[in-house]
Amino acid sequence: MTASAPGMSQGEDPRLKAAQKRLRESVSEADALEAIREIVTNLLGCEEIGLFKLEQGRSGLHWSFGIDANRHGTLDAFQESDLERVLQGELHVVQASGEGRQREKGPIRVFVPIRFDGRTAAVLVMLKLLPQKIDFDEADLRLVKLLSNEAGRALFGRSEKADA
Amino acid sequence: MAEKKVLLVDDSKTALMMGRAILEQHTKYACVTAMDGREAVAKANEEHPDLVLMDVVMPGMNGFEACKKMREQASTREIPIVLLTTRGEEEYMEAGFQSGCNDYLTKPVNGEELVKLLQSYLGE
Repeated sequence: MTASAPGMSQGEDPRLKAAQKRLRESVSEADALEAIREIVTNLLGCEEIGLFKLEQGRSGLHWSFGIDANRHGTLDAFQESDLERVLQGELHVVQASGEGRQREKGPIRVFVPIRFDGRTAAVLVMLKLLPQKIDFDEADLRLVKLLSNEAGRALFGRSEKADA
Repeated sequence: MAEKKVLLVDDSKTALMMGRAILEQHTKYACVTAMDGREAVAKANEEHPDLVLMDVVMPGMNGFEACKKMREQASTREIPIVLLTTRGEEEYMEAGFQSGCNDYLTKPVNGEELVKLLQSYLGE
């Protein structure tokens, strides 16, 4: 349990409420990226993030925070065997493995399809949790799902409307 | 009895939205907000909150500096201050307590833990 207060149901999770409001109130693509950074660092406790935009069958690093952009220029750099399923819209979480706290274990890897207009328009990758955060729990995964469903509109809805 | 008031300080709009949501849904405390240390010191003087819940890493005046400033001023010296940050390293926590904070929590915040902590200072 990460953010639930006593007697709090899933629908009342203040993290979901705050994240949804922040994304919906973002005023530009830059503000939407800042909203994603705030949600991932403050609410999920992850400090390495990359957003890969999918265009014409290619995935390029569109924006990042805390990761080495030279090492992770495209999604292919992760050599992730389940990447095709992510591109089809499936959330893929490789939890930290082994015993003990996260820093003693393999790093978490989270691949979030950012859905927009019925397709995966981008993939958000989260690579490293803060030392005090052990793993993702069910409440975290609900928040990640919300990002998958809502971040696309905040990021790409405006520009596509403006381009139309 | 007058309504208790919490001053939330964070440069992240998302963190402020979540803090406000927790207070509104699970406590009876009123809430005022500030987005950096300088604004926090000013709001603490104007609003006389019963508790300050403040981020550490902020542009301009950070949480440690704001905490020290509030401890220097007679009008804000006695207000309980809880620092809340992604930085959980021991040296950061030590710096927090040296700046005069009463408690130190790490992000991501545990809502239940936060509510209990606030109630320990302010009552239900």
